[in-house]
Amino acid sequence: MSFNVLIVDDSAVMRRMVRRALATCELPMGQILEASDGEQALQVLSDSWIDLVLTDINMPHMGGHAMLEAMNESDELGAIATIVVTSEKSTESIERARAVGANGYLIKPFRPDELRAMVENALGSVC
Amino acid sequence: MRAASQAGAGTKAVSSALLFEVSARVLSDICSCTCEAISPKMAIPLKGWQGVISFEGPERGSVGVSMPAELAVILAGTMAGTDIGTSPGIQADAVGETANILSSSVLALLYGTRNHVQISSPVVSGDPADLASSTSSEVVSLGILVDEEFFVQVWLRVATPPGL
Repeated sequence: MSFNVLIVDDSAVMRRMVRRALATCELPMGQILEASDGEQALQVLSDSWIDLVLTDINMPHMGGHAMLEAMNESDELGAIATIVVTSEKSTESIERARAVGANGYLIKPFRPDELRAMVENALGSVC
Repeated sequence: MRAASQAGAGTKAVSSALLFEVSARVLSDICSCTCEAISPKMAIPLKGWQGVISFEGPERGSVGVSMPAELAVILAGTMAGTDIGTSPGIQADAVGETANILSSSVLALLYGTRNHVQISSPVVSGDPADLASSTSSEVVSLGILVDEEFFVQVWLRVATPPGL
C-alpha cells in the first residue's frame, strides 16, 4: 500500500526540502503533489485522493490554520491525516492546529527521521 | 540564553551575543556551516539579498538577514537539493525561508512561546538600499562570518524602542 501526499508551502525550496525528506524516509509513497497556499491545496484535495497533508502555517491567500479549519468542517477532508511543518513555535499556533485536527506539528528546520516518526504516527499502524 | 528564552525577556534583554547564538544555531542547523561573530559593519554585502520578517506582539518590529547571493545558492542547495537550480527566484526563496526560521527563533527568545506574536510573510529584496528604508529603530545588529567566507548581517528592529 502506498500513500499519496500533498505538500503545502509557499516556498518552492521548502516544498522540495519536504519532498526530499519524504524520499529518505523509505515510506511507501505514491503520488506527491504540491500546492503553494491553502486555497490551492483545497482545490487539489477536491480533485485528488490524498492520504496525508503536510502544510506550512504562514502562507499568502489562505494560511495553514484556515486550511485545516476548512478541512475539519468537511466530513470527507476531515478524515485526512495532517501534519503542520512550520517555523512558527508559539504555543497558540500549536494548540490552534491541534484543535482543528492536526495529527502532528514539526518545526523547521527538521531532520528526516523526525518527519518519518511524525508521518508514521499520523498514518497509524498501516506504515 | 536559557533564562531569557523561558521568560520571554523582550528586546531589552537581547544582546548581540544572544542574537549571534540564536542566528549561528539556525544557520548551522540549515547548512551545517561554521559561524564566527564579526563587526556588523564588515558584514554588509555589496551585492546580495535581504530577507525581512515583520512582527507584531508585545512589541512591533522586524527581524532581518542579509547575505551574498553565493550563500543563498548554498542554502537553497542544502535545503532543497542542488538540482533545484540557482535562479534569482530560488535564491530569494531560500533567503526568505532562512529569515522565516531565524525570526521564529529570535521571537521565541524575545517573548517566549506563550505570547501571541503575529509574523508576516518574508519580504525579500536584492536592493541594499532597502536596508535603510525602515523607520524602525535598530535594537541589535550583528555580523557573522559563515564558513570563513561569507558575510552575513542579522538585525532586530522595533517600532518603539523600549525605554522611550
